[in-house]
Amino acid sequence: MSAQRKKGVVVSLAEARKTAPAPLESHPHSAPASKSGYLESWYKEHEDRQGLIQESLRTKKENAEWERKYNELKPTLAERSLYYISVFGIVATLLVWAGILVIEGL
Amino acid sequence: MWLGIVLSLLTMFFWALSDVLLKVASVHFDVHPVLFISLTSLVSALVLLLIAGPGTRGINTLRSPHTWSYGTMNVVQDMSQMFALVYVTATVMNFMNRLTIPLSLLLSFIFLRRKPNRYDLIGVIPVMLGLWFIGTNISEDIRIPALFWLVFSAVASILCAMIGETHPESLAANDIPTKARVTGYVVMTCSACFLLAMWIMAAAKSAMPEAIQGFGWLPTYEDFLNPSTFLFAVALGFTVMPFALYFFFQATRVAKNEVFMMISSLLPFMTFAMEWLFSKAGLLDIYQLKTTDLLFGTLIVAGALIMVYGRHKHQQT
Repeated sequence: MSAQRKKGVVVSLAEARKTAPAPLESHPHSAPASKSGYLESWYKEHEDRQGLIQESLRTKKENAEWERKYNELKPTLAERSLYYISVFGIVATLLVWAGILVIEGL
Repeated sequence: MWLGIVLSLLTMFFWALSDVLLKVASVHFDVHPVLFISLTSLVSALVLLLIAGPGTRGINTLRSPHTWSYGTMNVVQDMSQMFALVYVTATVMNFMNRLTIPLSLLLSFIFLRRKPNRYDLIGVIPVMLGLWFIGTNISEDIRIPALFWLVFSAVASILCAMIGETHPESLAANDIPTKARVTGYVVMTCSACFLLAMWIMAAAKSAMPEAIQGFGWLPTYEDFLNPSTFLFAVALGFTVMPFALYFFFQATRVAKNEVFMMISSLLPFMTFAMEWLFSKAGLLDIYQLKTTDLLFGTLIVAGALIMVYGRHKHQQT
């Protein structure tokens, strides 16, 4: 896995390919790169590509999970409106009440 | 367990302070109890919302039936305490409010299927004896109305604690701002509704005085225009009530209902200490309070502590 890649950071597949380290580093369990033979080198390349795809899918899943958690914490427009209506509503009630008391007192 | 006990003790401190201030308000400032409590709650809700800031769970809190039942019970409990304070001292009121101990055991057994252990059964005997003696110590001419409001307040207090323990939004709130926000919305909704209802009643009382006869406890326009009610409620709402409400919500969430009720047995002694200080400052007269009240009160606290010990031992095993 690239050192630049961190949890929760969206990484496109193209960028992941660009920044991906050498196949041997990234997938230690994959077959060693062949020094000769077309089929072996194709198979190695295929395996590396599969590893990248799987990692990309995992990142996407993690991103979706983080986004869901973030949305849960982020108030919606209705929630924000409710808050400000409540606060300003109470303040306005108190000010009007105090105003009436002042007028009555005068 | 210990966090629950600390939170419960903090709740007791602010309750004692608010009870004594309510007594001062009813004795010296001639405030209307219903109006005063509703306004104090509304101001404390504002403080809690300002502390919390905008965020989630507001809509769900308003949609939850728990919010409405909890808020109503909270305002009803405060009002009945205010009415009881007209007849007895805050210390006696808090001793008599320990009626919540046997009642909470009974209601928890009936509705929540929580079986009392042997410490509960041993502890509840001195509690009941203490309550009986303090009840009979109240002067005969005021005993019936005083006991009516005291029992009413105890029942409302238990229902409050039970609803608070199962409030879904409060249980789901994990951080302090969210908890403060949820509490703020809960208190705001019901106190605002009570204020609106009182205003409509005052209007009806002024428009059709004959039809509203017999409802002398309802406020009039003059009560709304009493500057003492407004100023004292705003002061209390900004300083003491938000903390009392917040810690109560927290304590009933962290500590079990019974544990909270047992620790709240210490409330009369805190109240007595504060009443004594206020009487020394010339703000209160506590001549009604008898030494025997304190002795029987100690019996109640002893019983309650036996039950707390039993709970603690039960949790450890």
